[in-house]
Amino acid sequence: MQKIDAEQEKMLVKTARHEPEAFRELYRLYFPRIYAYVAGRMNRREDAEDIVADVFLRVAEAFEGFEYRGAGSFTAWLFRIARNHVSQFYRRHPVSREPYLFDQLPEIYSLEPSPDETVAQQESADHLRSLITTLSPRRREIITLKFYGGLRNREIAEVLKLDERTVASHLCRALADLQRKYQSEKDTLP
Amino acid sequence: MTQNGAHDDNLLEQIERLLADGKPTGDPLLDDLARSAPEASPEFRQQLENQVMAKVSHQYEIKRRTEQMNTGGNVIASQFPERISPQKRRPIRLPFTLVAAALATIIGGIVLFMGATPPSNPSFMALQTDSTETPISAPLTTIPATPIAEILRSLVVRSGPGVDYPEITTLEAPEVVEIRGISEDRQWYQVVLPDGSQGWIVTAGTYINFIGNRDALQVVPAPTYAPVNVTTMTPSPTYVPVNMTTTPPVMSTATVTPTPSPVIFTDIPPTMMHPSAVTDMPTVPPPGMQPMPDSLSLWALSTSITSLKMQPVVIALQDIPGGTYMTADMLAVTYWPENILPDQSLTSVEPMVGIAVNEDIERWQPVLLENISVQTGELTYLTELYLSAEGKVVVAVSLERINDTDYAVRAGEVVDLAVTLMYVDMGDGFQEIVPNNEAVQVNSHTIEDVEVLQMIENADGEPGDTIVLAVTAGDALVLNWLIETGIEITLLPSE
Repeated sequence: MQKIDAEQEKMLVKTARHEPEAFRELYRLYFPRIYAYVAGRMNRREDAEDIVADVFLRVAEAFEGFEYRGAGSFTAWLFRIARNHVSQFYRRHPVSREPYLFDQLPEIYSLEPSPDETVAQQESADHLRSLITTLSPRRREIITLKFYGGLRNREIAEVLKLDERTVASHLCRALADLQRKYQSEKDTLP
Repeated sequence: MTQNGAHDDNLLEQIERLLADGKPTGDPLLDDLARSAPEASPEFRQQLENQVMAKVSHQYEIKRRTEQMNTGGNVIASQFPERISPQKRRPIRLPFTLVAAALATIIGGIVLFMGATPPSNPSFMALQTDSTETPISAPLTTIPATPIAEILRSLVVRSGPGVDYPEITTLEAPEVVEIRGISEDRQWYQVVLPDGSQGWIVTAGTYINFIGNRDALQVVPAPTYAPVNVTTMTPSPTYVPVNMTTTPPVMSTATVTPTPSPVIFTDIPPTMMHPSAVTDMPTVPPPGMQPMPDSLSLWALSTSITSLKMQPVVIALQDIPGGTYMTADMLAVTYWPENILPDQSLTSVEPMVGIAVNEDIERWQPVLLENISVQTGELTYLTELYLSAEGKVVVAVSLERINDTDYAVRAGEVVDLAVTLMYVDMGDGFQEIVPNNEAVQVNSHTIEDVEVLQMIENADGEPGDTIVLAVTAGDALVLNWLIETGIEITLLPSE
């Protein structure tokens, strides 16, 4: 997961205000993270793609109006937009709140050379993602922002308007939950 | 791993390292989690990148042109096109290209003459690169003799210089039309349409790029069409231009004079409201004329003289009795002059939906933050609450209605709302308790998996008396019923 530090982010954002190529760099930097986060929260790949497209087109539109306020970061701003789009989707499609179906999960386009390994990794990823859906909405969101969006706890706190310690607490509890379920299912395997 | 509120610092550090450098931690769960992030198909990523960059280029272009219009008015380009998307590179851009070429030649000459090295400013470098992308083959020339307008975004063409004239057609970017003249108030251009007919378009730089000499334009009198709609827009001290969707940066009008004195809004005439918001508005459009249309036309209606900074404000479209849970059709966003905007006014309908008003609000009155049940002092906060509810209804419940519990509730927790009640069968005939029929105690987790959005604090920072919950619309009904009937509610941690 390619990440840059806060200073680099500021420089890039500043340059992108008058240089389209810098905006392209921002896109390439954040696309995988935004996609992973959105796909991690959606049931169908088509919906994830629609939302990610909406997010980036919206960002392109609103970018000029973005300004740093306080400790706020561009990353948090971006993820907040993504999160709002996901929320809007669920407001419009409440039926989509069904449990994840394995064959509907977003695909992983792995670069792994071995087909066997790819299949195994795909299955394991599917399984984990289905476990994540069993968490409470807040914890599911935090896990997704953390592991798929690659956000720091401070950034998650900013996106969700929570205290950073609350985020840390939720994260640890969510992992404990997952660990339990993950382990018990592994133990039951032949 | 954790106790209530505590967290494992080692674990957190491990995760940060894993996400920062991708090195496996040895913990199967963490490693698998990091590996399970969904990836997009390369085709989709590339396709979207092209789409986004086309949009970005367009945005830069609009920005540049707007700046150009603001700084000079006329065609003289203050800088080169930074990056022009392929679809923008069309022959119709020739006049602009010629001027850019002229300026490029002059600046190039100056740089050479002074023997200076080009600056290392990345944007300047980009300009240099781009100058090779934009075909410059014409000799130095002057401003075109016949002014033209390059359409920047979808624009309605009317049969006369005013929004009350019928629409003829719509022009889309990047169409270019020849300008024949200008209206007496200099707010409309008479143009020649692609089919050879004539029409009028607004002069706003947001919509068109004017190329030519504006001062030389001939003033063309308006056609002798007597508009009807305009009579309904009678000047009034309480004029409230209405726009349901788009925020015009500044609304101004030739007929309206802002009043500095305090204004009472109880008598806003319905004719001042957006037609879609006023069902009983007696509008009689003339034959062939569209009713008061879109935001663009309203914006265009506002011609110059006095500029009023307008701000969005949420108003009630009907009388809303205290205690009513607001729905979207009860409210609308309108625009009021900034100087008379009430304190604590709200700007967006969406966050208000599903929230109860704590006192009567009369029709046409603004809905204020103090009118709604969740009082936090900050609208943004409320919006956040709403957004974080993800399609659920935000309900604020007084803690007086919540039974004592050892469970210390905090924002972000998921809880169940349980009720305990006794019931007895009633006789069919007289609605009396059937003799010898014992009461049955019912314990029920009536509403499950409710997210606690916030515990409202008192001014002194101590926990206050209100808890804000996100529930489904159905559960909100149940919760309201529980509150109204006085049945005690117990909060329990969700299973």
